[in-house]
Amino acid sequence: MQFQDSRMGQAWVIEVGGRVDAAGAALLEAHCQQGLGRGETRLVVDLAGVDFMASAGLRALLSLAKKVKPKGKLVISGARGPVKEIFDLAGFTTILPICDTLEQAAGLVM
Amino acid sequence: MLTFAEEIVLLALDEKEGVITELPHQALHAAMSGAVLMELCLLNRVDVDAKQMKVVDTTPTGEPILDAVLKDLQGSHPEHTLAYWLNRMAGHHAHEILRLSFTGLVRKGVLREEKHRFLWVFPDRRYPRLNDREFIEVRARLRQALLGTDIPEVRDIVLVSLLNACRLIPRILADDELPRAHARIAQLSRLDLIGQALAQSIREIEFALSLPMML
Repeated sequence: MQFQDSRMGQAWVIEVGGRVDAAGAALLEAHCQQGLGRGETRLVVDLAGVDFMASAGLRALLSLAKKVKPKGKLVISGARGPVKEIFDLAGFTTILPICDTLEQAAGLVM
Repeated sequence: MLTFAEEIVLLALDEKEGVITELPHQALHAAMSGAVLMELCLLNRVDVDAKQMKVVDTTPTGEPILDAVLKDLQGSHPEHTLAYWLNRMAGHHAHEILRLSFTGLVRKGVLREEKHRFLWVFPDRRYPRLNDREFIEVRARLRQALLGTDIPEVRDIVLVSLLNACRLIPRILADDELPRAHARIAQLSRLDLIGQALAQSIREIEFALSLPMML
C-alpha cells in the first residue's frame, strides 16, 4: 500500500494506492492518524489508485471521519470500479461526502 | 464491556419473563452467528468484501467462542460467501454462542439465572435482569446513534445493523419515534455488509416459516 501526501490550500491530500483490505485499512488509519496528531483537520482521501476495498476499509474511513468531525471534515475522491461498487452497496454516499475528482474534494473540504 | 451477542441477548430478553420470546429460534441463531462474525471482523481476524469473507489473521482472541469459530473458519474453504458462513455457523455454533452469551451476562452481573421446571419435568432456565445499568447504557448509546445526525461509533453502527436484521429496533425506540428514525435505521444498517447478509438470511428464514401458513 502506498501513500502520497500533498497540500491543496488548507486541505491535506492523501493519495492512496493498493488494496484497502484489513491490513491496508490499518495502515491507512495509522497514516491518517499521524496527520490528525499534527493538527490536520481537513482531509481529502483520494482513492483513485485503490483497486480493492473490504469492510475493514469502510470502517477505517468511518472511524477517521468521526475523529475529524468535531473540528474539520473528511472528503473522499476518485473512487472507481470495485471501490465505487462497495460504496454504493453500503450506501456510503449518504454518510460521507464523496467527489469524483481531487479538485472537487479539495473545494468541498474547506 | 459486552460482546455483540451479549448485547443482542440483553435487548431481546423479555424483562418480566427472563426469556427471549419474540425472535423465532432460527432467526435468533442467525443473529448470534452474525454477532460473532462482526466481532471477529472488528478484531481484524476476518475481512468481508462485496462477494466473500476470509480469515486474515489466525491469532486467537482469548474469547472461547470467538476462537472456536475462528478455528472452524480457518479449516474451511477460504472464499465462501457471507450467506454460506451465516448458515453454517447457525447450524454449528449458534446454540453454543447463545449459551455462552447468557453465561457471560450472568458472570458480568447483568442477569441472574433461575432454574425452573416446565410441566414439572422439563428443565427451563430464565434470566431476569439483575441490574439495569448495561441495558440503559446500550439503549442510550443506540438512541443517540438513531436519533442523532453525527457519524456513530463503528460498534454502534454494527449493533444497529444486527438489531434491525432481528427486528429489535422497537426495543430501543418508542412507537412515535420509529417513523422519523426509519431513514436513519436503513442508512446505518446498510453500512455493515454482514448486517446486510444477516437481514437477508433472516428474511429467508421468516419466509420459510410462513410457508405452511400460506399453503
